[in-house]
Amino acid sequence: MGPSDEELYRRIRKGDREALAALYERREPALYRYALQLTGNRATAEESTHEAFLQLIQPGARFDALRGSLEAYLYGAVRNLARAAYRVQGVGIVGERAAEGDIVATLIEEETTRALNVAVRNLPLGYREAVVLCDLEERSYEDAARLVGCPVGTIRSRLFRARRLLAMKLRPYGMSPERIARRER
Amino acid sequence: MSCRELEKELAESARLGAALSGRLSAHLPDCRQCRERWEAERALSEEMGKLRLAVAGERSPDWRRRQLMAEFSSLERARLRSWFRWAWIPAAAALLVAVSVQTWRGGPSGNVAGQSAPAGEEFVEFGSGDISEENGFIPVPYAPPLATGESVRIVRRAVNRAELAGMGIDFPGGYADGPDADFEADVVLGEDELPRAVQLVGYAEY
Repeated sequence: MGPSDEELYRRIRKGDREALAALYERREPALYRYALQLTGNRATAEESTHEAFLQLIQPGARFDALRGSLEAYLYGAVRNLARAAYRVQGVGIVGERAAEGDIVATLIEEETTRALNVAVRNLPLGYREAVVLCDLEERSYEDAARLVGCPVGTIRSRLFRARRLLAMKLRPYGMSPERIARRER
Repeated sequence: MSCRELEKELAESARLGAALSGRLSAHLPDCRQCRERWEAERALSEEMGKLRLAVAGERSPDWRRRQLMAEFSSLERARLRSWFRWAWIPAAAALLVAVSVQTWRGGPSGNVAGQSAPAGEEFVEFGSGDISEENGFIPVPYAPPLATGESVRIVRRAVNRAELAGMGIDFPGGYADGPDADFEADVVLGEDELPRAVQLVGYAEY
């Protein structure tokens, strides 16, 4: 058990490079995957994650430990940056076009999984966040609620509705109960 | 038990891959709609697992980390430069005050000289027993005695007869040169800056 994120942050503010390296190593991979799953775009994910850390080390960094954890602050920063990239670059175009240039899609071999990736990408942001954090990053409801900054019940209901939508969208791709039953036979 | 009441439990069980509860196990064989939902949720969870695996090892390229560290170093250098830019002002002020105090304590005339280092003052450990006529010093009468271990300072400076008389030292040479005539003398000063003894330079026989 190493020092907490907040302790590392205090050391970073005093100019400790090792503390920054440790925090980056601890949080960057999950933040990057979060951004990647939200946007589907590698460049945007890299940029958002990098920018979130850059904001953290700036002299006027706005992180306040009294208002929440550093992890939640970083997730919030990545989310806002990814959302801004959506608006500027038009990432997250609805429909099938969302899969164009989608780096996650290139990593997926199976058609159904690729269809699920597209469907996740086309969910409303709140639903998408719930799916990414709870189902793809396997966070608890409590964790996800803390990172998103909303009540646990909200995350729970968003995920429930999101999964319902996803199941419906995947029917044409072979996730109808009949095909599932056939596949299992 | 209605389908609506079991809906959330069903979805949660499928999502977590948990075993069916007793009431779900009892309900599913009799309800085609819930059974289909259960299968669809389980299949969705399976696909989510594959999607999760697809990006499991993904992270930013290493050059991003290096770029961040370089940016951090650059910010730190800028911060230190800025700190030094403002820190020299109080440092210079403190130095100025220290020099001023030292100059003031060294005496306003500034023409003091040490016995063995004429260019400046010399601090020597000097016991009260050494300030004696045998050593060429004329003790200043009625001066407060030196404390044990108290250091004294010897300064070479010009003194006139009137000043010597003020210390209680009688100069037998008379006042032929007038009361303001200067003599060069080594004056022994205690830590309280009061003279304890005087040795007139060039008047060793005295």
